[in-house]
Amino acid sequence: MGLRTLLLIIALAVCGCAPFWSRQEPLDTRVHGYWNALLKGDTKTAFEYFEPNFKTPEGYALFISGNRQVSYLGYNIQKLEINGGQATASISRTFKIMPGALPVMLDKPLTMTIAQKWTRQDGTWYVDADDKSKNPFMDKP
Amino acid sequence: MNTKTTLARIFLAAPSLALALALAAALPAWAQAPALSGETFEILVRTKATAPAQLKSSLLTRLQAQSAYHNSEFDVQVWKVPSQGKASEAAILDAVRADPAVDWAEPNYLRYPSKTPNDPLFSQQWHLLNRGQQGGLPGADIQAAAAWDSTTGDRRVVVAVVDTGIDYAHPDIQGNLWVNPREIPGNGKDDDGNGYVDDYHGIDATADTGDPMDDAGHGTHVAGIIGAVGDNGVGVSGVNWRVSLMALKFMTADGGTVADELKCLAYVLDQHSKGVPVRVVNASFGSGGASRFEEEAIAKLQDAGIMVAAAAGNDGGELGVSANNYPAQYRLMNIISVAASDARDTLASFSNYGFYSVDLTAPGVDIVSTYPNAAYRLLSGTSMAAPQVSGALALLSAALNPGVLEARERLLRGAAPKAGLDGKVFSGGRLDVARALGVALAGPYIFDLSPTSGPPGTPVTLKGVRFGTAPLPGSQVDFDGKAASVVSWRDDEIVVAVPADAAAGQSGTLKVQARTPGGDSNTVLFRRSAYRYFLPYAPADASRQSVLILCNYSNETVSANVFAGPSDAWAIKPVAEVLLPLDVVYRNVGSYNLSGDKNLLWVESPQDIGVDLMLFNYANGNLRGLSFIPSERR
Repeated sequence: MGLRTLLLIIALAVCGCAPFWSRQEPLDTRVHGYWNALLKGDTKTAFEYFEPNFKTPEGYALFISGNRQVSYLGYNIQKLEINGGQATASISRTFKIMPGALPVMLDKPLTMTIAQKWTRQDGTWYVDADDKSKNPFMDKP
Repeated sequence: MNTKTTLARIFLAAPSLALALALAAALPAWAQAPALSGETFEILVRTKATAPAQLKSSLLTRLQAQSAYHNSEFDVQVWKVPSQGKASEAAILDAVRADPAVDWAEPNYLRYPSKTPNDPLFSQQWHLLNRGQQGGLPGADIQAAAAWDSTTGDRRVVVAVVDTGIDYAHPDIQGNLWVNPREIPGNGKDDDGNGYVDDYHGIDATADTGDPMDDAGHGTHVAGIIGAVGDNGVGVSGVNWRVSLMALKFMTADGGTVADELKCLAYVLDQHSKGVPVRVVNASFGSGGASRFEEEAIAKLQDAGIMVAAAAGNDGGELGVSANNYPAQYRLMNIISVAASDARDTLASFSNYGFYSVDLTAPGVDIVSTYPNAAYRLLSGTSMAAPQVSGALALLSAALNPGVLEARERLLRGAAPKAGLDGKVFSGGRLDVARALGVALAGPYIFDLSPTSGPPGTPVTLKGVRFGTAPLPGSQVDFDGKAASVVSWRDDEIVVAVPADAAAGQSGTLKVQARTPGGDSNTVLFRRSAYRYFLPYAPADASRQSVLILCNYSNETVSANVFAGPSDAWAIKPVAEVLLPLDVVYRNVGSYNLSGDKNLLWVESPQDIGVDLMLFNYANGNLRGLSFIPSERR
């Protein structure tokens, strides 16, 4: 391995990108893949983007619990920030609330921005599930 | 012909007269008016031009009447008809009117000359009799001239003028000064042991003496409006030609203190307890600070049956909103709060007003009255308006001696309604002494309501008279035509809840009226404040996003204000004003930059809207679920 090749590998490692010979997809491709699956309502495919230790029946139930209440109409990646093996994707997405999700009928589309966490494991970017977080309002009506 | 024969002939000639006579116990109004009666009574008759002369003479014959005079200009005849008393006169008149030969008939009413005093400056006193002098509107006066046909006052009625004193040497006032019956003037002794030496006409509370001489002029001017001696050929006339003016000085030209004012009111109560018939206190003064002691003192006057006419103040503002003026603003039944109007019956530009704090207007612009050193001067202000009401109250006392509530009702019911005063003062009108003296006290009347504003569902207490001891069928309280649910009902007090469906206009003001079988009350105003919707709220963070859902159910665009703070008791500015179209509006409440974890979020709107909070719960940006928090409407 020549010096040039060695320097390129070091540079790619520092910037968090996969080496050009890696078969793993870059982060933006992974993010698009996840949100396109949600846009199609393909929750099984979308769930595949989650980190491996979350891919359990319980994890799927947790994932589906939120996403079955909305119907995505569109999304826009506003920013990708990579910091080592962690990344944050700022996603603006437009959605409608599914009928029955709330005690009131809301037909009007809603656009909100979220900061979604991604994590890289074995060179592949996965959605960071963080199933430990618990919302204090979840138990309220 | 004797009476029986006469009546028999009338019955035969006019069968309907029998019925009329049977009902004659309930006399029509005209029958109670004085008519030229004696052996005969007079009626004015116009016969039909087309009626045969024989028919007319036949009627005269049947009535045993004589045609005494014919005014050809107006085609009116004067008939003299034998009288058997008022009842028969009424029945006969009905019969004459029903006769086919008669176009119209009526009693020959007596008219009296309206009394006007011979005081040389009376023609300048537009407030007493406005003939359009000085560019005024004829009739825009307190109708004193008409009232004087009933009474011109009584020396036995005492009016306390709590002011800068009175120039008791003024030739136009001397004759109407109150005299302390237990004091010998000028002997240097406190004969009645009340702490004041030689308090023959009153006191000076600023110096604690018995000499209330006016060194500022204000009190003398006020006193003259109430009771400058009338019909004495000197200067001006008071609203009362005869009255007793008690001079109580607590102010100089620079003003006075409540402490000294209270000395004056204590003096009033002391004299009243000794049998001096003080009926009215004139309070042509005021300022913005509410005094609990002053209010308590005036409440004691109320207990003693003493009315207070108080000037509304000269700030040109709405009391309780953009201006304050006490004592006029205390909500006591014995306080009549008076704004000033001009010679065209419009509210004076300087005058304070306020539906809940001002009762009526009285003339207060360019009022000529007495001034120290035998002078006269034109002054303007609500200080000049209040003594017109004091004078009116004194006339009421002289003629009818009413209690506090009756006096209040007479003044308010009797006020001459003026469109420009509607909503500006409680009665919506200007003082009319003649109407106050003659107004019929029938049906319910609302004096006050409390609170004066609030959201739907607010319990509101109406105080008044003749509501009925229980809500009889047909009794209800309407808010803009919507019946309110009754909490309690007494003859003098009703408690109702503001109906939720009462639609307020843009101003948010509802017209409130009590309806009873005895009639409908006056209309009072209630300001419906916005509907308020409360939500618990925690600021957004990485695990939570909140969206406020505002739904407009009405047929028009309405506004809503979004408030936020640690509690609703902490008044802060609205964080957002939202115009709601005919649609649902989402607001991302995370942008309100609140801090802390015990925030309240609330929305106010004049219309009933839907307000809810939608929570998006996240784990690392992954949607875990939706929560819904309905608002609580209070």
